[in-house]
Amino acid sequence: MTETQKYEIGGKGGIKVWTGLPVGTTVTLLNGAVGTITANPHDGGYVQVDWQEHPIDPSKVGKQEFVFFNEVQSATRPDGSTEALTSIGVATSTELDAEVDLGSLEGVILQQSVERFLYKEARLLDERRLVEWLNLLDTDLHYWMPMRRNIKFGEWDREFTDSETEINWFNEGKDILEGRIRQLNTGVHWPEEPVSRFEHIVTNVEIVDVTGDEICVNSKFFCYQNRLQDEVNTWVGRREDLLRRDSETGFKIVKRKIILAQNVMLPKVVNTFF
Amino acid sequence: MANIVRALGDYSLASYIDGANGTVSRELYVNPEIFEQEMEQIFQRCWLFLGHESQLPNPGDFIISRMGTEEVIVVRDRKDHKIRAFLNSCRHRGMKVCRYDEGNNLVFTCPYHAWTYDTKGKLVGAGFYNHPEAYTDTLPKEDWGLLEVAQFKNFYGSLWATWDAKAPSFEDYLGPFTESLRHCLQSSDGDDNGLEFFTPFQRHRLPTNWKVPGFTSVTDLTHTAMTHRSASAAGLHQDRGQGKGKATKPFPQEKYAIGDHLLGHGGMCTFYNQPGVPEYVDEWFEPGVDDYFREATERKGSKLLDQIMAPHGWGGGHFAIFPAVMVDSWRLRWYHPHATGMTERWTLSAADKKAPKYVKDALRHYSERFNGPIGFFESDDMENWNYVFPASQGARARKANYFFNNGKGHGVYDDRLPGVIVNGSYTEEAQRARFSRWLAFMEARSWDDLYPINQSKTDRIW
Repeated sequence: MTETQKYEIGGKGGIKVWTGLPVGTTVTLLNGAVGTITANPHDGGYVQVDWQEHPIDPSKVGKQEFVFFNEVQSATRPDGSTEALTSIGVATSTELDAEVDLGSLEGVILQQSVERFLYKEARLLDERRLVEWLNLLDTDLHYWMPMRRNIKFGEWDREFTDSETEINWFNEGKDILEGRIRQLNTGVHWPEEPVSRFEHIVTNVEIVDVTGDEICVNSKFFCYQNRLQDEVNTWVGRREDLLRRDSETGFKIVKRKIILAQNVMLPKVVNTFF
Repeated sequence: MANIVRALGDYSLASYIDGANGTVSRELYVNPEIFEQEMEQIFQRCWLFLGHESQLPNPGDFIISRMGTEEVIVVRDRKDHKIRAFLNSCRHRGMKVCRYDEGNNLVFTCPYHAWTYDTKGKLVGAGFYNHPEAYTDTLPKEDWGLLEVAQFKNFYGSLWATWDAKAPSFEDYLGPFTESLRHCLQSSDGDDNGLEFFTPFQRHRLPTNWKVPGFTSVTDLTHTAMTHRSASAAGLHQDRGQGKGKATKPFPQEKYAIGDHLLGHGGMCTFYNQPGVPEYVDEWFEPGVDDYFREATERKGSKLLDQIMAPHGWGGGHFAIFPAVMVDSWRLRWYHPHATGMTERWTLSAADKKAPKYVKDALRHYSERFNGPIGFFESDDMENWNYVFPASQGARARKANYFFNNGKGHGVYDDRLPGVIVNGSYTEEAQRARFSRWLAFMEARSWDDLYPINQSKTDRIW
């Protein structure tokens, strides 16, 4: 077998996914060189190797080099395993953990009442009944829309900006929202004058936890803004709400995390709520 | 003189600025040919702001920033720990080598043909590099590193770069504003490089020409009352808290709109007429924050017993560094051109490194609710900046000129900032200075025509 053939065969059948190989893994190249991984950039292409043996170029022994996956015959982890394809942290979803059986009559009624509350909330925003909307918010509300980063697969912790230490889009309580609504209701807030045509569509309402009076509910929104003659903006995303039962309004929103499907904010102004 | 808009006749660039009448052609804001030329003549030459070192504390840390319409990778090297900046474009086929906003990397690997670069930008691998039928001796790795900026400067923690090797030093580029910028990067008790900036960049799009906010939003005190009518009507004035404090001891100072027609910088400026600092005035509603700043201000005063502070923007006010950076003592805001009618606006906000968390939180939350597309104050600006563009673009509209005559001819030179004209706070002196320098850049063949300043050529076109 020629060197070229060996190379290609090795490349097809060899180590295909690098990202899970830890530092300390021993790799053997098709050309017979043997080394130890000193760093893994998790880029899908390379590992950095410290050479112990290098029959082609013995001067490389003791030196470090980046090695492309196609050049490798085999790899053995420090624990002796040789399986190449390794998960590096697949995201998991929240499991339902409710005190109420959502299939029971009580559960169906709860689902109905939560949905009706969320639909009414959207309608108040679209009908510009903003002060009434405020009344659906708990005095201890945390209203949070993090920014979202472009991240590597597996770096889930980096995706959302931290509400405690970083800059977020919304990150405030009811008092600040009251101020925003005072401003919207002056009639001289120019990005909302003339007033916009907003339509909030709320869907995918899923109760994920019920504890006493508190209900965790996830939902999705599509918000369409049509303004002046031809200005159109859209915001699409998810929400993770903590609602608390309330004798006056049915529920109050205690916490809301708004997960907007944007990185750079594309509309010039955000003059509604989600 | 360059003739760039043939369709409109044989006009020179200078004919777009009517110094005698204080007007500027709307073509400057709406003409795509002028925009393309700006990307070459201005954004390839000027020192541009990239970010702050506090965004990349560790070896291998990187952020993606922008220079003009292009992305750059700003990265702290794993070995020498220095920060460098590179064009985010693979040398092989031009693919973006990094598509993450920030992170920590060992190498930057192109997903196309696996050319890979270390944190010094050096090419350290390519897919099939060792294959006997591939590159063999035809790819000299040392020649094919990422394209690095020509000059890079870490100025008291703030990071700046230029693509032009002939550009003067960053300090010479700033000229008399060097001390002003240094001052704005100090902690509130007067330590150099005393700020850390909250991550990440706040980034949003603004459908307008970059000069609309970049040139005309600096020292624009006549816009505030009307543009921000709703914020004051709703009791959301720009004060961080409720503007509750009042100074009890007078401190002699003078406030102006200033413009450096030679270098293009300028903005709001306060000159201080005695050593020390003005007394701290309460402005926060969060408990304890005023106490922190009052004590810090007193410490700063004790460091300046015999020293007059460098002139700088007043209050939360700002001065601008040509072409498009606005500097406050607590934030930096700047404008990246995307197209003639599309701009991306970035903001970074700061707090004293040494401040306790409750002070940092107060500053951070203030920044979140004040700045940008959701900021109750700045959202007003976006509407005006946006619709300037379509309303100036039409065949009739673009034949008209913008008025920039406010206060023209009433400014005077002031020895405290050599070469800079000071004028009334509500004048457009700083805006005119930016167009003065704009014209110089657009006509210059290279930095040889731009620095040292040829005063007889560029001074006082107005």
